[in-house]
Amino acid sequence: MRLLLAEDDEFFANALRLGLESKGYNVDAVRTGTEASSALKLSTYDILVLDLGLPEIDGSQVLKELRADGNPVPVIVVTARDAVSDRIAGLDLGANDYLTKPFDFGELEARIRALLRKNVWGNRMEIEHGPIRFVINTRELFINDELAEFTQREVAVLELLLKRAGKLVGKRLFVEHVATWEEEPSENAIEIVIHRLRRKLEGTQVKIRTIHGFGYLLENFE
Amino acid sequence: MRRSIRKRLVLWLSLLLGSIWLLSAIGGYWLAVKFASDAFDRELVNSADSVAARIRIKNEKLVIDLPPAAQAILRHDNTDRFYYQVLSSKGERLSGDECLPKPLQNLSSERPSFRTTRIGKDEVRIAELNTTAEGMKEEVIIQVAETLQSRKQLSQSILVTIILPQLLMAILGASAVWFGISVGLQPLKQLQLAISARSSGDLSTIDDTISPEETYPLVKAINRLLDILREDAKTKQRFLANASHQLRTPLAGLKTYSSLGIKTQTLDEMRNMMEQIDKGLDRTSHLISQLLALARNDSATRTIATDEMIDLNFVASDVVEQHINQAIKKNIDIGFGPSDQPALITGDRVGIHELVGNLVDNAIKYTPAGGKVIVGLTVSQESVTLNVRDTGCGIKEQDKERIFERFYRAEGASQDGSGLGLAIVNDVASHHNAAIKVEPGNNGIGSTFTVTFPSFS
Repeated sequence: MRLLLAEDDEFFANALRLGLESKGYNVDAVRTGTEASSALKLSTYDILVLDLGLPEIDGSQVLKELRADGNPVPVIVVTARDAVSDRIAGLDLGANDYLTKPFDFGELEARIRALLRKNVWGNRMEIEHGPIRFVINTRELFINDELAEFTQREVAVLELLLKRAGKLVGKRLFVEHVATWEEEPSENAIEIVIHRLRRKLEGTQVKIRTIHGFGYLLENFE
Repeated sequence: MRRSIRKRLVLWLSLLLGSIWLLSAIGGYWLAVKFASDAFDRELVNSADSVAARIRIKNEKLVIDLPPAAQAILRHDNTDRFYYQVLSSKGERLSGDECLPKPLQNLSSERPSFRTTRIGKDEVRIAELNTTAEGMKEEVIIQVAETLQSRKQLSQSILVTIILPQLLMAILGASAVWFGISVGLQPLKQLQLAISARSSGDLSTIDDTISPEETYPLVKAINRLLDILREDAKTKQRFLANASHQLRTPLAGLKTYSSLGIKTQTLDEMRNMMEQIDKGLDRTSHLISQLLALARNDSATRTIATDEMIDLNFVASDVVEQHINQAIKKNIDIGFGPSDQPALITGDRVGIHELVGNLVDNAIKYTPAGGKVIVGLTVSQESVTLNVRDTGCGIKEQDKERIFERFYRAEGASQDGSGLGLAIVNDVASHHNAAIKVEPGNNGIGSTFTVTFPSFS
C-alpha cells in the first residue's frame, strides 16, 4: 500500500515513517504543501496522511485542490487544531478522518486500515480466494488455514492481484503500488516477485497468468 | 460613592434656583408688608385727624370731645387696642391715655412721624403730629397708638400667600430639572446599555451614528480601544493556534516513538527509539522555555518594573561563554569584542540576556563548520550598539521583515528552532526602545544583526 505523508515537522514525520514502514506501507514523505500537491499529481496513492499546518500551501488548501481535481484518495488529517469547528471544516473539505496531535500510533494505524478496508476492500475484513485467505488488518496470508511466510513485497503484489482478481493488472500499476521515491522496483523486479509467488502457491490451483506485453491476471476460481 | 452627573446637575441647579426663589420670596414679602404697613399708618393718621377734629375750646380751655361711641369708631376692629393722647406744645397732658410715652421733639406739623414702641407688654405703633385746632393760638401734639395684632395677622397672610405658590413653583421647578436632566442623559444610558449588553467576546465597534455631540468623543475613544482589543485578540488567537501546533507536533512525535518503542523486539531497536525520544524532549523543553520567555516579555504580562542599570559587556561576555562549547562542537570560531567604556543601558537583565542569547544561538546554528561568529559592542554619547556577525547562510531580502514574526520560519530554517527566537529578540528590543537592523555580512557572506540601545542616562 502506497502512502503519502505530508508533515512539515521532521522529527514527527520520521517517527511516523518509521512506524508505518514497519507495518508494510510504502511511505513517501513531503514537508510542504507545494510538494504534497505535486506528489499527488505525479503518483497514485492508496492513502494520504495530511498535516493541516503545512508551509507554503496550507494543508486544507491542498485538500481542497485535491478534491477539486477529482482525486478520490482517502485522507486522514493529522493536526494540532483541535477545535470542533476545525474538525468540521476539515471533514467538510473532503477529509475522511481526523486525528488531533498527539495521538497513539496504533490509533492512526487502525484508522488507516479502516479507511483502506472501506476504500479498497469494500469493508471486508478478509479476502478469500480458493485456499488463500488474506487477513486485511494484520496483512497475514493463510493457505489452507496455515499461516504462510511471505515478504512484504510479495504481500503487496498479491494484495493487488487479489483486489483485482479476474482482471488484468498492468506491470506499471505493480511498480507504482510497491514503489517509494527512494526505491522504485523495475518491471523485472516485479517479474521476480511474481515468480516467487507462483512457487509459493504451487499445488494450490491458484493461477497467476501472464499476459505478455501487459501484465498479470489472477484467475478466478470456478 | 461615585460622582453622579445627574446629582451634580440637580444639586447646582437646585442651589441656584433655590437662591433665586428665596430672594424673590423675601423681596416680595418685604414689599407687600411695607405697602400694608403704609396703609395701616395712613389709617392711624386718619384716626389722629379725627381726634384733632374733636378738639373744642371751652372757656379758653382745650376740651376733647371724644365719647366712647366715637372712640369705638376710631378702632378699626376689635382685635387691636387703641390709645390716644393730646398734649400741649409744652408737653402737658390735656386729654387721653396716660400710658403713652413722651412725644418726640421737633415734630413737624405737615408730616406725622411714626414709631414702634411698647406700652406695657404690648408692641404698639404710634403716630404723632403737631396740629392747630380751630380758634386756637397754640399748637397741640396729638399721639395715637394701636397694637400690632392686625398688622401681624396681615403679614402672616401675605407670607402664606407668597410662600405657598413659590414653594409649589420650587418643587415643580426641581421636578422639571430632574426630568430634563434624565432626558438629557438618555444617550449616556443608551451607551451604557449598548456596552453592558455585550458578551465578553463581543469586541465589535459601537454604532456612533445616533450618538450626540457630547458623547461622540467618548464613543469614538471606546471604539478605538475596541479596535486595539480586537487586533490584540486576533494576535493572541493566531499565537495560540501556532503555539498549540508547535507544542503538539513534537509531542506527537514523542508519542509515536514511545508507541513504537513499546513494541520493539531488540535492545538496539529500543535504544534507537530512546535516542529519538531524548532528542525530541530536548527540543520540546527548548520550545517551552522559549514560549515562557516570550510570555515573560509580553507587554500584557510585563507589568512589574524590573529595570536596572546594566553593562552590556558583562551580559554579552556571559552569553558568549555559555555558547563556547556549542561553537567548538560545530568547529566555529566565536569571538567577543567588548567596548572600551562601560556599555551602560537601562533595562531588564533577564530579557537582555535572552536577546543576546538568541542572537548568538541563531548565529551559531546557521553558520557552517569553519565559520565565524563575532559579538561586538560599541558605545557612543547617546547609544550602545550590539553587533552579532556570522558567516552563515545569510537572510534573503524577502525574509528580512518576516523573520521577527512569531513562528515564522524562513525557507531552509533549522528544524530544531522554535520559530520564536527572533520574535523574543524583537519583543525585548522594543521594550527597551532599541532598534534592530539586519544586514548582509562582509562581502555579502553571512549576516549582521545590529541592536542599538539608548544609553543609560
